[in-house]
Amino acid sequence: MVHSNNQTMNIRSYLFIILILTQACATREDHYYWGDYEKTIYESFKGQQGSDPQIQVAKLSQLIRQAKSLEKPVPPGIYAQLGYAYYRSGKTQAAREAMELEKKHHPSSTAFVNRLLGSMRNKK
Amino acid sequence: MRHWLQSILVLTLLNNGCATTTPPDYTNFRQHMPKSILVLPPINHSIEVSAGGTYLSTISHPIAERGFYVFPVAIVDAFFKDQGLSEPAEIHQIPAEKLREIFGADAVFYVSIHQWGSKYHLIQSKTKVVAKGKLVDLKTEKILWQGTQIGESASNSSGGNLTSALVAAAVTQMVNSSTDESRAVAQHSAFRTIHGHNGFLKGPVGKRNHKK
Repeated sequence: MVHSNNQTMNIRSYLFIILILTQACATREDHYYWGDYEKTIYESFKGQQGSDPQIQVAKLSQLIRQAKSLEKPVPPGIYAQLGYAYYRSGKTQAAREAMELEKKHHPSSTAFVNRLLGSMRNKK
Repeated sequence: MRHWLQSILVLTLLNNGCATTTPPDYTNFRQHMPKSILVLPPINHSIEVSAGGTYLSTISHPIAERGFYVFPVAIVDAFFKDQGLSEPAEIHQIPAEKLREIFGADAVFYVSIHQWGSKYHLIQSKTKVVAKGKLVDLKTEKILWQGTQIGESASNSSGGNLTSALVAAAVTQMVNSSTDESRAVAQHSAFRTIHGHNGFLKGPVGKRNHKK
């Protein structure tokens, strides 16, 4: 009897340890909606077809639409990246609007985005 | 026998889930908790030319999900090139004060890549990614965090994949192309490094109660 009690205790404590471990290392749910972001950025670095600004515009716009439909926030940098892709495809007004959205959603970006907006004006 | 098996089970779980070494000192991190992190183009010591860009494409996600604003890596890279700075080693020399002025960032993440890619052996190929990172406060120039990201996977040529315990199971489903494999290994190990036991502290940005 004592023996079986001990065993129950043992099993319990092991289960407890396992529970803690699995909780600590559980897969977390993302706060932001990332969609194909990593692949899109990867392609932009690769300099292949995917780095074409118009393809980037399409992919990033789609990501933002999906984020909105899932009611999840758009990750840092996406609006700025979209603005940059618009800028590279010659759409300065759309570029500016996207950059403003980066500032609105992620105020930490303000100084850098203002700098980018400034250089866009100078090059125009 | 039973106890023995149980101990092994627990040990295996410990090894798989959260490897522990001496815990890093988080005093500076706590005292100078950044809101925004600037990831600079990494210095690449590996033989894979595209390692830097691929690394950058994997790092925003884990850092942002940890609770920090991450400056858009591809634009930052293009910005430096525009200024005539295409060598990461040069970029890493820019004074902290200057970086703070240009980006308005609270902290900078310096990364150097030491291994990147696949090695083919007779019956299997091994993919390994090793990168060292250092997070520095841009006001005080104190080191907030430093650590090494190590990711590894192995696959045998018969088509079945044998993935090391370090890499999550999803990697095994990747296609066989070695660049995709490196990218997947980098993605998983980046998450483990930033979110793991000795990773970044949780940041203040994008709290879970966020409602729009």
